[in-house]
Amino acid sequence: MLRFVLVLATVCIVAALILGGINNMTKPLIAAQKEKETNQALKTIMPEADKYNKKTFSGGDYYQCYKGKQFVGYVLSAIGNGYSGDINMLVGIDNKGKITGIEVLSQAETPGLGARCVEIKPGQKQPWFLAQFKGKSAEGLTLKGIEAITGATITSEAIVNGVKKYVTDFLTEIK
Amino acid sequence: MKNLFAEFKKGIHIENPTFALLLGLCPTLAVSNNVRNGLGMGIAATFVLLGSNIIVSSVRKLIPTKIRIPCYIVVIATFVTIVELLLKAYFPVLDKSLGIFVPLIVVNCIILGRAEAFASKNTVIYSTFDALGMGLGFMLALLVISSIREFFGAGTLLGFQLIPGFQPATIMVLAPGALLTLGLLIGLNNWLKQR
Repeated sequence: MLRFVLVLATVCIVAALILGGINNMTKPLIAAQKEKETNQALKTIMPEADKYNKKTFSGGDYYQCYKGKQFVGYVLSAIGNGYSGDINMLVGIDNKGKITGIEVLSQAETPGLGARCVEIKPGQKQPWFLAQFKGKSAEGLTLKGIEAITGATITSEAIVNGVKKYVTDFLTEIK
Repeated sequence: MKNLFAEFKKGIHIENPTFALLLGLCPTLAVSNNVRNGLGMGIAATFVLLGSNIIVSSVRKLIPTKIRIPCYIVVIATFVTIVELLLKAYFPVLDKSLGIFVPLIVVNCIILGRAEAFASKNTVIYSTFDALGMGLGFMLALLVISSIREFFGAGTLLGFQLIPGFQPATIMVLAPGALLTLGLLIGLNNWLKQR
């Protein structure tokens, strides 16, 4: 009996030590990758800006975007209530409240269905679903005029509602 | 050498994990809706299967029979987590496309099945070939299922449109399409075996 306990305990301790070591080793690298990703996303969402000031509001982080000294808009984080977990996004709005771009940072939607919200068609640079939002007013956003993802109504609605809610809350808060 | 090849070959047809052993059907049904996903899952699962078979077979004499299952599960879960962390840190592009499948591998019973049925009773070399064969068999099965489903369900293969104007049947990329395709393919496989 005692032997079983000892063997299982040893297996678990060895596994924990290996995982701890690897976690320690990869943690700074993973954090650096995340930051690189965020910076890239900011560049795609607000290409005209060259300076992004990071601030926080009740819904998460936001960035004030400047081109030189001229204010061009905000990029803020938004969360959509997806089919399987949160859809974390960055949304860019110009100073008139129109969407300049949306980037999905992380999602766990069904592969082939909801996960197609980040699908990039051959020959294009942006996901076709997210590209449709460009130029639309964020506060009055609906699925009307947007081609939803086939078989993934929940994901499509989650993105629309997440963007609408976070942008509306954000604009009321900073007024 | 001949025996090694036999261990490798059996996983591809006679003991194909998906069509003959009917193992790991959950991930098979879930990710076979397009070829990219099927291929990704196949590669990731083969990698983990190889690692877990090698580790389990090398410590097989140290682990008492009564507590082997919890030990195997710890080994598999550890291996999957290592793969996940390394992918995130060093191959972020690969992680973007495979990331969601890697945690799914823990619950893929092909891995535990091979640890229990083969690696716990055989040497490291044989277990390596068993893992490679089984992994390849799983990958091929996923490729066949996902090609059929993507073609009929989305009208494309690997994202490229094949026949212009073809009206795809969305049911094929949804859950019922997975069950229909898998059922017909298992039937076909059994029919071929009986002849």
